[in-house]
Amino acid sequence: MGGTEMLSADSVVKKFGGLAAVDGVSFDVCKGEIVSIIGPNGAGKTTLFNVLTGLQRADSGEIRLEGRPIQRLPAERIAALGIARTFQNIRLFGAMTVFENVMVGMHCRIRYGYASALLRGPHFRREEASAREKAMELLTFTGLNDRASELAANLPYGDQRRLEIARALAVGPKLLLLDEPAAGMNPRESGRLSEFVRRLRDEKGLTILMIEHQMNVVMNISDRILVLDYGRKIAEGPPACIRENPDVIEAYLGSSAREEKL
Amino acid sequence: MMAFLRKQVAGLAGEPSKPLLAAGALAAFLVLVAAPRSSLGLLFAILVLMAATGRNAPRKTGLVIGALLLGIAVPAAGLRNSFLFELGTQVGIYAALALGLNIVVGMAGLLDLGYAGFFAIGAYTWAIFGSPQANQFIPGGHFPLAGSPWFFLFAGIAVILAAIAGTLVGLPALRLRGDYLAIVTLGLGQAIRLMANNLDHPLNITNGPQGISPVERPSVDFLVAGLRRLGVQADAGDVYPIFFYFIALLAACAAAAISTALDRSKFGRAWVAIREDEIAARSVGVPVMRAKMLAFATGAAFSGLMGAVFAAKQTFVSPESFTFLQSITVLVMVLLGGMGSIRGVVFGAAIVTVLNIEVLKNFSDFLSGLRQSGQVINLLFWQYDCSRLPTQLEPAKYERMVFGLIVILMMIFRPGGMIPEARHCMEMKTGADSDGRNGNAQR
Repeated sequence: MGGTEMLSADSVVKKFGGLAAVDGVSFDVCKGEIVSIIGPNGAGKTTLFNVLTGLQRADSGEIRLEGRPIQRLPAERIAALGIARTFQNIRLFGAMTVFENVMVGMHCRIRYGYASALLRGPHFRREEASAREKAMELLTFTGLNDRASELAANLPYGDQRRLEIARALAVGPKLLLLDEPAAGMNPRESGRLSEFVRRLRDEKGLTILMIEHQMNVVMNISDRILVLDYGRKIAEGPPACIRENPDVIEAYLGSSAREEKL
Repeated sequence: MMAFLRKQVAGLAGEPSKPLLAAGALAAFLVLVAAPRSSLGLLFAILVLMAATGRNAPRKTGLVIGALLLGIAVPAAGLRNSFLFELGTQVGIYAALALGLNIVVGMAGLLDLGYAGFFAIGAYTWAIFGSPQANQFIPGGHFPLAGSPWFFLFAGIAVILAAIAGTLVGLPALRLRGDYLAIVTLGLGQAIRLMANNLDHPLNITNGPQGISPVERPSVDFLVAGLRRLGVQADAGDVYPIFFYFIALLAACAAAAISTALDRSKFGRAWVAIREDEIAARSVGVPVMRAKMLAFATGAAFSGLMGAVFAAKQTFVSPESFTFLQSITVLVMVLLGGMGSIRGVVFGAAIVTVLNIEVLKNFSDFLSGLRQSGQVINLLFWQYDCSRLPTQLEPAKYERMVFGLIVILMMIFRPGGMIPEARHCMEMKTGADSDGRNGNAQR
């Protein structure tokens, strides 16, 4: 660990009726880390993401981004402050082009008002031009530059996943939350994804918090792993420790499987 | 002719060539001149314009053809059949209205069923002060405010008032989604109409159900004088139809230009993003509430402006003009033309307007003519006395059904509308703008 704190969650609780989907989870993510969250289905991983990004409000607890409490802010403010995310069930703007999807991601970085959008003066054109340039850069970075003018809905699955990441990068985040980025990928593709996530950290200077089920990806790139079960944190540590942790093995495979390794 | 038409229609989707467009424009011109009595010429002209402003058509060609057809050919034909001006004015007003609603429904995906309410606000803004009505509650007998500057000032005020009303309606309504939003806007739209209906006491502001009449029109003396200098004798009565035709045309062009500008800015992108996936839009930093409010206010502003124009054109305003059916009519234009598609919406407005005030009315006249003729139709053993034609055949009785059918059929067979929204492809070729305007900015 070490390093400066990027995100810290302190006893975060989110209840749906009587069910505590996230039940007092605390953790920190340091600048430049890649942290994975794993856990069986229904463990509250995605709900935790929704709470972190402001799509759902925590019932109690505190969330800080670089020391600043954000748990009461609306999602768009949190995004502007520097947390961007992708979704487990891809949520692109289907009727917009690949390029436009990325441009929407830059909404809060493009600085012009309503009046200058109507008058289209030099300031407007400068802002739009630099946004376009940046969008094209991001599409090149994610390898989607050839598909810029296609509708997002028409992209193959893997490209849609990459486009979601490109769109999230357009927000200009410090912290990137990836919700099952390797879902539905074969081993070769997920290998490439691991490589890509590492590049995101190294080349874009991002901190990454990731929900993932594919253990080869998780074990390969995570600095630390956080394990959730029934809304509680049951383990936290580097991949090697998590692999051996009896609670984790039980949560995943049931008590009789303790002999088998993950 | 049919083959040519088919080619034109194909041109709507594909790439119309310059000669084809020129031929189309010429044909439309000929139809307008040869048959000024028929409104077909106007529809044809608009069809050609749609083809000429297509995605792949050169921008200048579209502008030139549009200016020639709507600015010269239609008025030329209108001089021989002034009904064409009436029709053109209505098409222009409805096109601007539909463009405004298109921002709300088409781009931002917010179903607004109370759009006529903002139209009413604009209409009453001018009607009250452009008629003796305001004397009822402002002593001194300053009203009506006659003359052009007053009208244009109040048109501006109408825009602002409607935009404020749009924001106020939006505040509570936009916290709701989908059907709930539709129901609330429906209710609020009705509330505005009922206010117009009932604000005749204790203070007589709107003159209640009787409506306000006469409403002043902006002065056209300068046009009459100008024509006289050219040696044309015309009085104000002759000039008004042309004047309002050009006002409506100008307003529709402004609405189209504003829609296009917004569509190609971060605001338009934010609206479409909200329509596509609100949650994703929020999570990439689009301030959804503010963007929705902006869409509502912009749409309402268009409506308010056209309301003021409508009040001046009709010289009469009453709550009857702002019913739920009016909101639905504009919505049908948007759905028929293509949600989110600026060209489509204009086209939809033209078709529905012609259907409304030409086709259905002609059918109605035809029926009453038949009824009065008392003709008896003999079909072998069956005889039918036309004077007994049931009044249920009157289009006014099933106008709503016609619109309902249009919506249902469109949803089944062409959910994208006649000219579906085409997300602009030109912006993304390179970082620099490919339509050439940005080159200047960088220099």
